[in-house]
Amino acid sequence: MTSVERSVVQTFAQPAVDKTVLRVADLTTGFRQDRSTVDVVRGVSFELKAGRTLVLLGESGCGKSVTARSVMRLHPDRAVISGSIALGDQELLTLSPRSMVQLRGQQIALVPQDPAGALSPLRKIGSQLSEVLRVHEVVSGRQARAERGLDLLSRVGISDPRRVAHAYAHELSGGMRQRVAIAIAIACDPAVLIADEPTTALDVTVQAQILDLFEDLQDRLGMATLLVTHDVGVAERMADEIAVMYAGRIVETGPAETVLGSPRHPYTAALLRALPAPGVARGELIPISGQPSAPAERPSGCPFRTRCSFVHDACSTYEPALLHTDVETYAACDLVHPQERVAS
Amino acid sequence: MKRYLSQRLLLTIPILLGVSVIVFFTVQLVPGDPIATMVGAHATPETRHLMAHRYGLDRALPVQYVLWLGNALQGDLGASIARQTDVSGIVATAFTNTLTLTLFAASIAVVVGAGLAMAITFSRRRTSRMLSSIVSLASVSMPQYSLGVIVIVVFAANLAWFPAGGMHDVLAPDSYSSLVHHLILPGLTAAAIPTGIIARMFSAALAEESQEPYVDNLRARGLSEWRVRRHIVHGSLASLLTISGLQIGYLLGGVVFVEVVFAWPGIGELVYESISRRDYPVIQAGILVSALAFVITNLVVDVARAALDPRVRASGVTA
Repeated sequence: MTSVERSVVQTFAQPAVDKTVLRVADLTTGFRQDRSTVDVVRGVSFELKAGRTLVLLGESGCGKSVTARSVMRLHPDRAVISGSIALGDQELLTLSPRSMVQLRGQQIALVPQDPAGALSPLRKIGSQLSEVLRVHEVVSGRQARAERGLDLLSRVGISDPRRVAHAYAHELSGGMRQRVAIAIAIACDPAVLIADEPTTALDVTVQAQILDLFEDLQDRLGMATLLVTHDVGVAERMADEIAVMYAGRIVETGPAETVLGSPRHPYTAALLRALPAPGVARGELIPISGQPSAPAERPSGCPFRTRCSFVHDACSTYEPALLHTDVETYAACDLVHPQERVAS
Repeated sequence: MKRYLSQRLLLTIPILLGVSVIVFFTVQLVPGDPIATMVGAHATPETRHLMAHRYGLDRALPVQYVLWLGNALQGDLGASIARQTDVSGIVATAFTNTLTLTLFAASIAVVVGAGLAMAITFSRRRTSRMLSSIVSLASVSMPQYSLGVIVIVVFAANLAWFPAGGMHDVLAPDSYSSLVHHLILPGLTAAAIPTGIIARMFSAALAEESQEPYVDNLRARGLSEWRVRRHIVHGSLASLLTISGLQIGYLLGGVVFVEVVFAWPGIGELVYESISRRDYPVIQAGILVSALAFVITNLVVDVARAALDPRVRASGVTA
């Protein structure tokens, strides 16, 4: 079977929904500083399923982007990473750098946060698409690659793919650039799509269009999606499952409706109260007081205790483990499981 | 691109006019009396007057300027006071020689400098990064005139591999191989400083480009490190052009030392000699041609940058 046929079959094959594609277990990413290592991501575990979206939700600095980049092993040289990242039955953390290069973009693709910066300013859009298709040997032949590039552009909802293919990134609008970045990401029909704050840099109206596009593509291509965002609204709209991150850990996770409908962790509850929504007057919004502490100066015990309104004595003594709640979710809070102390 | 080109060409006209004004009037500031130099300090007032009239030196300065510029535009740069010949011919020959030396030195500087810069930025081995840094630092640290003398002592006087000066062998005045043979020592000497500057500035440009967010995204697309580097180099080429253009410009005006040390009959040596003879027309023409070459180099660099980098085209001409 030639590579062209393979990609066509992949495109039209009915995706197997709910099959676990990527399994991350106990992922810890630290950065070397002087002689010590500061862990930015601490023991994060989650699974991505085909056709489903997991949203990593949290404030900036909570380690959600580092988690996403660690999955692609796109962390800087001074980072120390441990745990397990299994794509199918392949362990990514022990894979050779060369195999990892081939895997990126082909099996795990990234939609960047800021499409203005993420597209090469020097190459035309068409040439950037062709390059990815060529490197991953998806399509052979210059002409075929150009055709496939136009096809990809129209698949992400660009009505005049020819014009866009001949344009440079700076000649396109923000929404258009993000569509192009998505076209590049899905060029090789990846099994896993990682979107790092994909709508943060866009206008609100364009945000909605891009989110629509994500849903549409997921339905058609059946990718497992990891969506990183700080925006509860985006999470509400996109997530099948949600993992709320705080201070480098997942503090609450479960099916999206349950996490958002009956939050069990005070941090999740506080996040939801700070969210503007129709019908909620501005005065009713309650911001979370204080700042998340920097990784190097985390308080003892539960890292959220300095900002938590339910803080009590036990909070400073141990860091609660992620345990099953009374609903279908898991949460890491002493209130959910008082006295279930796990040595940390 | 056409719009960029025409804007850039239009901008060149006022620059050239400005250059001509500065060149003409600066030369007037050179102390000394050209007529006294020609006819001697004890000549009669009538003789002095006659000579002044003959060279147009008795007219008002602005008139002299307009006449000079008008003639210069027609390729007539006047007559040399000291040599009694046409300035255009002398300057043209000297400039060709300078250009030969400059282009030779510039090619070495750009190739070696860019190579060193890539080694400094991309090499995985610490030793080769260090070594390249040291070479680039050393080459900017030595003044041309002392380097020239050392090179002559070692390679011409002691080892006798290359001639110490001049452009051609007396016996084979037009031979190409003889020219190259004579070109090597002054070429290397002139190339040293620009090589180091290009290496250091281009490696900084490469490092800066590596930090651009798109570079990281190229890795996320699954491009190999080698391909990513090609993108980085492509993205830094506009900087390389700017840096090299400046260095070529400085070389054109700054090879005086090298030309004097190696007796290279170029424009630097010509002007240097003419200043001591108060030969105004030659000084003016020499500086004008050098300045012109500088302006043209910058023009070529800007146009090439625009052709290479769509960001430059988009932002338009900035003076």
